[in-house]
Amino acid sequence: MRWRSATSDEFLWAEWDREFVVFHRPSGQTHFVNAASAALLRDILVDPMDALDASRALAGQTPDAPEPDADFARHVFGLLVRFEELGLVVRVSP
Amino acid sequence: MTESALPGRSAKRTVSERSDNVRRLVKRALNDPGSLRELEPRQLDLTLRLMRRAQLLGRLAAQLQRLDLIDAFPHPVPDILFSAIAGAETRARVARWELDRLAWALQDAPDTALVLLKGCAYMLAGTPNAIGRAFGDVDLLVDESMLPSIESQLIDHGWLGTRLSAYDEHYYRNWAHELPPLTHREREVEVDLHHNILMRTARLKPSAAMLLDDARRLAGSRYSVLSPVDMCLHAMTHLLYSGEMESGLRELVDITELLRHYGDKEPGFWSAFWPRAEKLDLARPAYYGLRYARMLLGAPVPDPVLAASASAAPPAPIGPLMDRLIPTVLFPPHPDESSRHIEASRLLLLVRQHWLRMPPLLLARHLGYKAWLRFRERKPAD
Amino acid sequence: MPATQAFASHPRVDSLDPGGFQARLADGLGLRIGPFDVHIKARATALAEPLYRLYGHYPLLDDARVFSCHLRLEELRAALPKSVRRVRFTVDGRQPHDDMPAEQALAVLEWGFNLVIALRFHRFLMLHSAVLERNGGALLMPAGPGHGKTTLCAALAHRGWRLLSDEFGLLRPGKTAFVPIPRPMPLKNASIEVMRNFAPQAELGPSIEGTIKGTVAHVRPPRDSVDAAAIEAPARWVVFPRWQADARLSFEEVPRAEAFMSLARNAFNYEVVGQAAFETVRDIVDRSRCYRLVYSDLDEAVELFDRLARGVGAEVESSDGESQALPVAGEGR
Repeated sequence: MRWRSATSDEFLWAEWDREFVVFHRPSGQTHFVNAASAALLRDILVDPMDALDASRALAGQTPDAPEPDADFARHVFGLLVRFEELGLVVRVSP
Repeated sequence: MTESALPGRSAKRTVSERSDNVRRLVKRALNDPGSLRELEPRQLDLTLRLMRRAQLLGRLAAQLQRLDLIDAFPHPVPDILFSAIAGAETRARVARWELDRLAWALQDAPDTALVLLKGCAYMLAGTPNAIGRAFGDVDLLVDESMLPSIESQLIDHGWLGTRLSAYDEHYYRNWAHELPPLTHREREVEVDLHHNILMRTARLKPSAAMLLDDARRLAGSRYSVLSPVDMCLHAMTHLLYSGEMESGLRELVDITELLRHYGDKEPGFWSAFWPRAEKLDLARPAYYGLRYARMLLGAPVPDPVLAASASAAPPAPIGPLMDRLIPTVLFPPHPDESSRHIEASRLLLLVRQHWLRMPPLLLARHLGYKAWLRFRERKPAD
Repeated sequence: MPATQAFASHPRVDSLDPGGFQARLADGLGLRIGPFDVHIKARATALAEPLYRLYGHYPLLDDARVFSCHLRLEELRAALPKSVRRVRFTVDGRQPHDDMPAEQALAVLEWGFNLVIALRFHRFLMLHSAVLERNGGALLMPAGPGHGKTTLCAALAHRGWRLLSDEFGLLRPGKTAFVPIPRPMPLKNASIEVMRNFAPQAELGPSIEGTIKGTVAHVRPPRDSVDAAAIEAPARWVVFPRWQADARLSFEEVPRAEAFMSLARNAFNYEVVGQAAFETVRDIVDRSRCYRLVYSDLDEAVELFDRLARGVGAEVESSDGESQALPVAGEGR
């Protein structure tokens, strides 16, 4: 299963000290996200990828992310499923 | 000087003068919103209060915004209008998002028609009455055989049924034409899945299959809408038989705008209208809909169509009674007026609607229960 | 430009004598309360007198105008003994809640007006917050009920701060300047006595017992706050207050993202205003310093705010006993 983020013009971002709030315009919802989630939504998932690749990209990018082991990949998978429910990412057929 | 100080006859005349004035102001606001600038301030104040009560303030505000006239009004009118616009825009966004999420939840389900009804249909089809409109729930018409799988797919994706009493659950599933409403656990929008547009027990039996057959898929969308004639017929049916008279004028405005819009844009609309009404067994509500849209709001119904509809006119005593009751119930009451007279009319209408929807034996018991429920929970002013 | 600058051109409520006011109130009169022109019609014993006192400085309006809302308070069954008399609050002919005991008429009217504002006026972003101004900058104190913001607000309003509101931080989307709506401030239970001790010169309405929040008494807004109701104030400080019995005074900066979320949650209509709400709250957080305050002693807290306003470092003992000077002056990042 692969996902990509919703198009960038659907988001409005504000950042203070590596903490982020993001407004998702179609839903009108505001989310409080950490740096890892922000990285996923803003950079990593601009191109579609699966949870494993996304977790590797995260580990490469953020200094505070844990080692990309199976547990971490599972955690990222759960995050992506949740983001999909919220409309922040879109599932892409392979 | 208050009404109670006047002798009886003058009091009656004052009441009828008042309601004439109410109707004049409302029609003016509907047909020529820009002219409201010329109104004397007290009358403008009254007009805005009436439009709010009639759930038409958002529409008025959106129209004035399009005409770029909001700032031409004195304080605090711009604040009142911008507030109404903000409310309407949010409700539209909320409805659109709910439709987005429903399509997402059903993406792996068979591609069965999901036909939008009422507000959401107007919004996605872009009919003129959609602007500034008040939305409530999301209403979808689907093939009855698909209901169980759709319901279970939605429940799998986070929608919940509302907790109902055993009585209400039974009412919905056995008598009504819809499932108990579903609401997503994180949102507050009610999703109503219908398999027809009238109750099972109603005396009128429109064919859901015919409605679904003529429904049109919207370009680039998961959703369909009823055909133009069917959309108008549904609005007319809903107005007269749904029991929701509070939004009655707004629904008559919907009907009038739809007739005007499709009468103009849809080839063959008027020649198809009456035959379709009869085929769907909706001739009586169509008769009333055409009659009152034209009589009260100036809908451009061609004379031949009106003449054809006369065949569905009600028997002699009912006609004149409805002619008196309908405007009284549809137009908003004067906000300072004691509404006992109006309540009586509304009650009579409500009884008639329920009679059409339920076998007489169940009616009295049901009315008693519903009246008790309404007394128990009162809705806040908006 | 809205007509809020026209405050000076209307007579005040206290230009009428009390009897005249009562008669006008029974027929219906207009009051200018911040950006709202309110029509009030009330026939309820013991309402006219406190209303006259609490709204004495407010502009009185004629009825040849459009009103923001029409509020009505009717006493029912006045012939029966006092204990069974009730009042009915209606807005444009509709009743938002059950009839209430007649002695609570003033509280019912005040809370009813709050309800109408919160449900209708979405052209404003409405934060659930007290707002006061000093030296041209606004102090925002967002808090839910029970945190002591009204008591703190009433106290500050009598110690050099101009009252903009005890309840509604009103913003026009896209702007970070608060729109004043000075109103009588409802104190509850023990706070009433605290306030009387703190500011004996403050004018209070009657103590109304048995309300859903206990005993309530309203503090009249100082005259200069009402006179300056047309003057907006840009956000400068955001302080999330919390009163806690016997607590040591604590004053800490709050990370901005957290301040954003707390502000958004403490808004009446953040979701309705949508994108503009996000942008406005973001701008406020950007330009303000944000703090959390815990206090038990009103005098201490008021003194802290005084130092805040004067741009002096606020020395506060932190929980480990060390004294810290917190940066309190200047703009955000």
